[in-house]
Amino acid sequence: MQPPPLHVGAEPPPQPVLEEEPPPPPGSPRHIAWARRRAAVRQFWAAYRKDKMGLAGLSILLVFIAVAIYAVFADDTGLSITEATGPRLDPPSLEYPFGTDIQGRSVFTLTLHGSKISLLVGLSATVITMVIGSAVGLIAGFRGGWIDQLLMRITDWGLVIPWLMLAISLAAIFGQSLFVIILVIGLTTWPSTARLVRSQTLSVRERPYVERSRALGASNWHLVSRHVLPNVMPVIMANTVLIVAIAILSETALSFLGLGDPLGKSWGSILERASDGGAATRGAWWWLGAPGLCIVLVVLAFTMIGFALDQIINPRLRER
Amino acid sequence: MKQKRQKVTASLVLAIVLGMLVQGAAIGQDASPSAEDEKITFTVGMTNDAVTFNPMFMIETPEYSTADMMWETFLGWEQEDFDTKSHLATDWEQSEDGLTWTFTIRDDVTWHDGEPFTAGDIAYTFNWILDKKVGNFIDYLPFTDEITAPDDTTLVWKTTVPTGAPVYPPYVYILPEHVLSQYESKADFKKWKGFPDPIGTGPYKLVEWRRGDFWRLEANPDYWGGAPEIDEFVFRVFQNEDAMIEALKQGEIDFADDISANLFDSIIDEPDITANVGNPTTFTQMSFNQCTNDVAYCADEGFNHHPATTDPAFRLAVEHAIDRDVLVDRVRLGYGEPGYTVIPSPKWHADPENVIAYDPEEANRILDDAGYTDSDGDGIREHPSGEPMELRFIVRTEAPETIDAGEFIVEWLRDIGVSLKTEAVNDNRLTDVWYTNDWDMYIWGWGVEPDPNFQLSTYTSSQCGIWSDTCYSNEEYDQLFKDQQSAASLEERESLVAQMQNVLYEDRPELVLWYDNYLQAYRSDLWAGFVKQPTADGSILFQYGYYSLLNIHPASEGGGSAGGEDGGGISPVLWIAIAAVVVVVIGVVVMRRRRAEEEA
Repeated sequence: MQPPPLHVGAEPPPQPVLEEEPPPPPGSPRHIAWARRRAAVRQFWAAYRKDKMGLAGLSILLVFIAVAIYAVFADDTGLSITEATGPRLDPPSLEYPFGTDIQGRSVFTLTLHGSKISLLVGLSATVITMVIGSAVGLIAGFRGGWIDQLLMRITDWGLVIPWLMLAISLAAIFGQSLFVIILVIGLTTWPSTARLVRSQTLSVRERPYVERSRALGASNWHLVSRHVLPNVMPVIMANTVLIVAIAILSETALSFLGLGDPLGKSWGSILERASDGGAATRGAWWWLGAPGLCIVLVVLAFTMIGFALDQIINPRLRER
Repeated sequence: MKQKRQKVTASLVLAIVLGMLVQGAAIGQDASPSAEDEKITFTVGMTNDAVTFNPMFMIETPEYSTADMMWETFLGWEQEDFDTKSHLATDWEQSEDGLTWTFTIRDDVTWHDGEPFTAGDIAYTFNWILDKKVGNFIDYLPFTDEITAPDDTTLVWKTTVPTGAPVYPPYVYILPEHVLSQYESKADFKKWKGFPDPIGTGPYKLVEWRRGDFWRLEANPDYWGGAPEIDEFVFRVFQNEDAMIEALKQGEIDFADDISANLFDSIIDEPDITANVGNPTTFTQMSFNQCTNDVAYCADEGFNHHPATTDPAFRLAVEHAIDRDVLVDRVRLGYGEPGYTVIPSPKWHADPENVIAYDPEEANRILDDAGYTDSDGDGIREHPSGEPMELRFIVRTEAPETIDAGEFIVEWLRDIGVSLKTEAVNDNRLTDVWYTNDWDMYIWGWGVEPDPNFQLSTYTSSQCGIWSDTCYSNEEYDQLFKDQQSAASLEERESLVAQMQNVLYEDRPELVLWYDNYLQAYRSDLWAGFVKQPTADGSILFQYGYYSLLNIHPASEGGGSAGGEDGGGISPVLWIAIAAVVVVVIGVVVMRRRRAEEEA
């Protein structure tokens, strides 16, 4: 296949930047585009609303997002080990709804504050994954040729390497911190996204309107940004939601293995400290149970949303 | 066990997951692979792993615990009070001028391979260490002029100044001349990991070693002190202390060594388990990197640390900011005592003359006076050089207590405007970091011998790059160390040792945080015959000598690892924990696979 020529045709003239953009006149291409987008969103929401699983997932997720936002502004002295005043390993009670840990801190408070870190890690790692994965997939699929070959071999390498080993090695090299955990998860998760995006790009690239646009002299940038990306985007979005679930689980796994910030307060770190503190032997089920349940719920929520999106977006699964 | 850097090293963290799964699956099954014959097997559980059993190059506790059973020292330690007693040497005397020690050596000892053991082996081992400058052992053999064996049962040790060092006694394993002489150099010998074919004189020999899993010793029926009652001694490595304690409850292991306070608390009321609180012989310390260009090893290897760690005012402020009573109470749950100097044993311990009390206000004042100010108002002070007071702080994954202690220390130091960036690493990694001098502060521990000579040697300048934690260097201290080795009387040595403890306390290259009780437990329904060393309140196994080791026997006929199945299933909570890990791991794998499949 012949790579498309570079920079053929004229770039669109730069738009003057205005303080306040006037509403596009009816009938203009912009107006039509926006109307079409609004219609698409309405249509999407109508389809999504019918999906019970998707709605359930969304509700759970909204609750956790609300909790995490609350946690950002809430008082965090309850996390301090020197300020802890509660009894050691106290079972759940009115005062301590999820019991206390071995240092007398409320597991409820720990779990509450853990939500923001776990969600932050999950979402940030996903952003890295999506950016790298989409870029690699788009470039490989659109350019083809040796660039495609090279990028796909790197991707294959990333796919077959045992991710846990790679993640452990990276965490060992870069040290232990939240940022490193995010980076490590992002850097080990992108290959599957890249593959997905590439296959979709390959299919979109060959469609007649792309051919037509190219024949009219559109630049590569125009083709990718106006035609390929908008058509690949739904796949990326559906994938993103599932990647968040994987990222949160990965964060838990890495923190549980002691590769996260040792004094961090993510759900995975709480689990690790509980395990080290002998929660299982001492029957302190609440110390393991509270963060464990939250992880399960959040991952479940993202997975349900992801499946619902898949149902709507994936033409092969869509009911007509 | 001696230098006992407490606990060890799980090499790869993946092994933890696999280990937990395997152990989870294995719980409930019989531990001993060869239980069907009549062999008496004793299984010890530990959360540490061994890296090498090479008798001259070990670092960690389980390595010493194992080597102690295979190789012997030429003098021993009394059960009662650790006084020096006869062992491979039966008699000794010092000449009038104090320069010559003469020892009578046993003639009824053979090596594991059947070769006769002689005084020549002892002389050869000591001379090899001196010739090859084996840093781990060389401070046991000070002022040596020559060590010779005029005949098979006599050892003569001549020194340049009068010294009692030969009968402290040296904790040096005696190796066979016919084996050691095959090695050209120290590096050549170091490559051998003490396995296979370790040849010693002790009651056991190592016959199987699966790294990260277990190692097995078999009895030496020809042991000169009498054939051991237990035929097989198995050390099992647990990657998770919970699993070890469950295994003890199920009777899958017979003995759990070096238990953390958290879990020890949960088994003291178990009916079939006897839990023993041994008096402190170890301490946990927080070290500050003292490398400067004046120290040869640091200058050669290079070093990297925050400028504050070498500032005495900073270290004094840190000591003021730390509340040892809280650490003992909350982290050790009372199984320990606040520690100040580096010698815990009552015989040689000296209280510091000037105890630094917990006083955060004083700490703040000291930092203010020393020019550590928070000029940019971010709550973190700046070093007089302008560098922010953000230091790296290492705690140990093998010892979860150090993570708890670390969290306290991080909060206390934050209150005096010092920020610590904490990292938890395993001992393999910590050893690397330690030897490359690229660290600011860490928490580690020492097991201290009955005689203070070895422990005090680790702070001398020449030990930098060998045993010295901090590369502390002080000429006055080095001189005191030599003086105590050549002290004319016990009283003089005691006063010098006390003085040295005080010098270290005042200079504080490291802060002793607490003295740890040695926490051990065994199945008292299956085993009897444990004795303590020291007899009043000591440890019940892995002692200085074979007091328990050769005395343990099944509590009744048909004992051993047979029982234990009637104890019921494994606790449901542990099942849940195991299930949770399995679910997480499977979940990740499945989701990843699903993604991978969809890619096409």
